[in-house]
Amino acid sequence: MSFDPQILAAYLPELWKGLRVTLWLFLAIMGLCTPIALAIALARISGRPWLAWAAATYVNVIRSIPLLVILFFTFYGLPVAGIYVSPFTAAMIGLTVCTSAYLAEDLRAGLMAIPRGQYEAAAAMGLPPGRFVARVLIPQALPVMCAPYFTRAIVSLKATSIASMVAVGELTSESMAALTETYRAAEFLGFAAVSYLVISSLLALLQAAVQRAVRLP
Amino acid sequence: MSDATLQQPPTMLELIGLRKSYGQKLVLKGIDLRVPKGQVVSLIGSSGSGKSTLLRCINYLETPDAGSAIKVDGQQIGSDDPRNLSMRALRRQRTEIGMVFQHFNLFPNMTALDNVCEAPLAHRRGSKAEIQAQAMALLERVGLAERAGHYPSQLSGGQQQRVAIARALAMKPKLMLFDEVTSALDPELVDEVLKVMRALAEDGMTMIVVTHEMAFAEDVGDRVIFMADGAILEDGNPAEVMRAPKAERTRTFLSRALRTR
Repeated sequence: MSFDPQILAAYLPELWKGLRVTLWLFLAIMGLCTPIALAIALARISGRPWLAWAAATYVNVIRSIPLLVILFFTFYGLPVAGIYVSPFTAAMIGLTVCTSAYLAEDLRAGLMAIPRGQYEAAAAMGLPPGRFVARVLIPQALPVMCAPYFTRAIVSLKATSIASMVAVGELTSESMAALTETYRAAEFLGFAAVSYLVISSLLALLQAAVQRAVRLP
Repeated sequence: MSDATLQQPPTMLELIGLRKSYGQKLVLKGIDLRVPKGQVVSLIGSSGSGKSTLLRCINYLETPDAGSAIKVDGQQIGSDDPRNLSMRALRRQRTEIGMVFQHFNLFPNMTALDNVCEAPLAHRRGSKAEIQAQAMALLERVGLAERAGHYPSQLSGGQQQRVAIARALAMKPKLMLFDEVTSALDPELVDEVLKVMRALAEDGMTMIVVTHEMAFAEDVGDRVIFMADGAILEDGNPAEVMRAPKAERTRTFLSRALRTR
């Protein structure tokens, strides 16, 4: 099997466009998922039965449905309900809905690692819940949350490839289009694989830096 | 009104029929207690006697059963019907009561100074500079001003507990609760914490101290309460309770406790 760099170079503009779409999709998902997942995780540990029940139901329902089904639902189902969005937006909504359920559980595990004594000290001091979350709970949970958060981010990055199934011209989609035209699998799938590897590696480096920054003294 | 009544210090803590159950198990069986301002009460008793639960009910870390009444300086704490409890009101009420825990429970992500400043900042008890100055004065009072910038992990157990006392004092509470505050400390670190508590008692702070330190209970306490099975079995001045206990259970407990002292 030969590797032809020239054919890869010829398709580089399309591949680069696909890579940019992948990056935007990934950043949009994580940007939306992080606050949503944190809110769900806090709701689950809030001690308010209805809030905890609603959050648990969301997590249990969403994580029981395959990502592809959710993506098809947002792509084909939303227009049925009279909501017309671009394929990119449909994919972004579907991936956000799905990833936020998983990420909520990752973050909840971090929050639950904080000893009960911290909650009791804050209660005895009369700290308002918002201040307790911002000043005590999250700073202490961050070091615990860091590894699962970045692992989830890497999983989400790779999950963006499923957006190719709903007509989003992202990296996998553009690589497959080039492959279909040229029958050169090694060049285009290789490019896609190396691109995912590079971004994942950058995320791993970012994880190490963040872990150092949020480490408790 | 008689002269004796006029001279009596005002009541700081009043418990009326305080009951607490966990499921079917009744752990506090209707406690009635009145603590005058400035009194230091030592709560002693075996593990499981209900003394820590009693302490934790006073600031509603444990919610008492309906019908219980808790008053600090005449003000109701929590609600006699927990279903009508406003959390905002409870947070305000809790600032009147300082609590120190067995395992310190300092916030490990904050320095000693930040730990002490946290509650006054949250309740906007002055400008940041004023609050920091007051916090430094409190750290000075517990002998830790030079450790203000240290994190809890950089302090010994005794130092952490002294910071925890300073933190509990930061809101200028009317009543201080101490829950076995020396039990988790190495023996050589116990004295430094007891010294701070002794000074606090001498300054006239009203204190309820759950303790296994019998010497402290006897020397510093104005009053010793012995609890067993969720009820107050003996209540009197330290000499009475510790030297001439009336109940057999108190005698058995004290003979064991004083032997291991």
